Amino acid sequence: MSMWEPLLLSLRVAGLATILAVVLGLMAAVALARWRNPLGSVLDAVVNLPLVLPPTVLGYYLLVAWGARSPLGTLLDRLGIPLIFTWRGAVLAAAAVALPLVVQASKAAIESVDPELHDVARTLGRSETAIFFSVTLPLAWRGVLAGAMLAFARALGEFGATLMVAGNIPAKTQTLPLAIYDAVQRGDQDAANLMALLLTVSAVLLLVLIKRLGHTLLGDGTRE
Amino acid sequence: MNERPALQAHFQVRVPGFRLDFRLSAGPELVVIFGPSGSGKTLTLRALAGLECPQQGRVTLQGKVLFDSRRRVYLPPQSRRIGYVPQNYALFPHLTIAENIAYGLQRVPRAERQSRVRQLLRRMRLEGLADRKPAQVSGGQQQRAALARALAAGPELLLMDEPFSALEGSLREALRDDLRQLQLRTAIPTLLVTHNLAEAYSLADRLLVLIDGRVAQDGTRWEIFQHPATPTVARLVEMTNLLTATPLGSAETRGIVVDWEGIRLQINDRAALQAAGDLCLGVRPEMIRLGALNGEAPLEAMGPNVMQALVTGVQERGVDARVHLVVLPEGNPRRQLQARLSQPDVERLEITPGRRLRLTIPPDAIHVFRNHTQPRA
Repeated sequence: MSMWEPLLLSLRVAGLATILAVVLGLMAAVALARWRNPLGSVLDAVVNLPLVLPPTVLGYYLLVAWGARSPLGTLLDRLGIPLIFTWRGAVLAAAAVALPLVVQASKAAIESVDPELHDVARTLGRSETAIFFSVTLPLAWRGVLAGAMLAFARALGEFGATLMVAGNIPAKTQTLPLAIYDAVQRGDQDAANLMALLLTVSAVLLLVLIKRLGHTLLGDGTRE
Repeated sequence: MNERPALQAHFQVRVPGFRLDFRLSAGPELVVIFGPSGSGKTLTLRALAGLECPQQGRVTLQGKVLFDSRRRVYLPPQSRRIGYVPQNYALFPHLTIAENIAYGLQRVPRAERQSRVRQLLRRMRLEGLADRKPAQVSGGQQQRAALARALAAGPELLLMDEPFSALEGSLREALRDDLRQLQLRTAIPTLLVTHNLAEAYSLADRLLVLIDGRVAQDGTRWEIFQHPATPTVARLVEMTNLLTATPLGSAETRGIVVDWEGIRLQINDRAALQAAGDLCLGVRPEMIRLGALNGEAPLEAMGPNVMQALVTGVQERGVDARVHLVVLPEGNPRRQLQARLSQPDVERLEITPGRRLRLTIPPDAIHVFRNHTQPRA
């Protein structure tokens, strides 16, 4: 059995999950950085829940919420884009798990932008959305990118929630971690070794990249 | 003078532990808001800009209602047309000087935007710096860039928070003049906040003194320096001699005679006539005249308010000096006065602690605080 299929699937799932987590995570981070009220605290708890919840439990909740018998699941079924036991389910599971990492890094980065810049931008007549894209994001992107890379690493290794939501269907939803599990079960140590090494190398690579990003972030502040 | 003032504002902002009561009507002039730190100066500017929402009041600018608590009007900063230059200038660090200036001009067609930016760069003497980042230009250039950015969108009111505090001494004075000239040329109503007395004095004719969240006085700088409304304002504008005196009547001479710690003083301020009880008097230290004693002539014959004083201390402060004195005869420590003399005068009169001098308080230099009579201690 080839290991390229699980690898490509893993990269696709982790990539899409990261994009989803960054989009949702940025919105949550903006809201959290601005809402200093009970509503903010509730949102904070909800987005950070995947960090402390066992992945199987998280996967189970996703299954209940998006499953065939749920309103959301029925709707998606009718639209012809089923989620459960497809690669899309794997994306959803990985995004949910990666979300808190994006939110925390982005929130810290957004909060480190001088609020006076935002105030001045408002007096200059620019809308909140325009200010976000022209001031906040350009000044916070390093933190957001660091969060996105952490999210990608986490999504790449996702196992528990993915298994619950997407199952372990070879060539369909079998990502690299699931393939490693299968290989070990079969007693195919060579395949397990190779795939484990692959994941380890990519994890180390990401770590080095994040570290370098963090270095320039904490450096003397000069750009280019 | 029938025209309504461009800005009419009265509002109240409550934040935890602080309450601001602000009131101001201003035309196309430069008004300096002066007060110690923590008096609510920055909060005032933020409330006018719409960055802080007052609980009560009404603010109109060029006839447009920006805030009205009764009619529940609260325009966001985006629709107020108020230029705001915060204390650290808040230039966008990732944008060039030209991009900073153009930031508020997104709705202006490209060609016009570019020509306006070029014009402002020239007017603010920033040519050649258009493509630099804020961190690559000097403090004075940053200040002018922030001002240019605020002016670009054609504001109807300009707010500046301590615009000179980040600059070094010599630069400050040059930029103060620049700002005065610019304000006169553009005729945009401008409020400028400072806690620096020399700056307040040199920048504007109109001062508004803010103390503990209240407008303690609003008037010309002459009024505020010579006739502060309260002893607190007096201390703030360095009217350091605050005296308590008892009126003795006004019959004998043209002036009014009072008793200050056993010394008879003649004052010309008519406000003393309305007072019942003890008066609170103020004398600016630079108004007190000192001279050498020439033994023979009796001091009383030399005019009103001439007395003998003993120098108790001299504080050199560069161009001038503070001289601490006690009025003779010795024995009453409350008869203290402070005079301010230029350095050459200090040397000419050989002022050193222990020296006796002739001291004169011109009757016109004595200010009477209205409504500040006090029971005698």
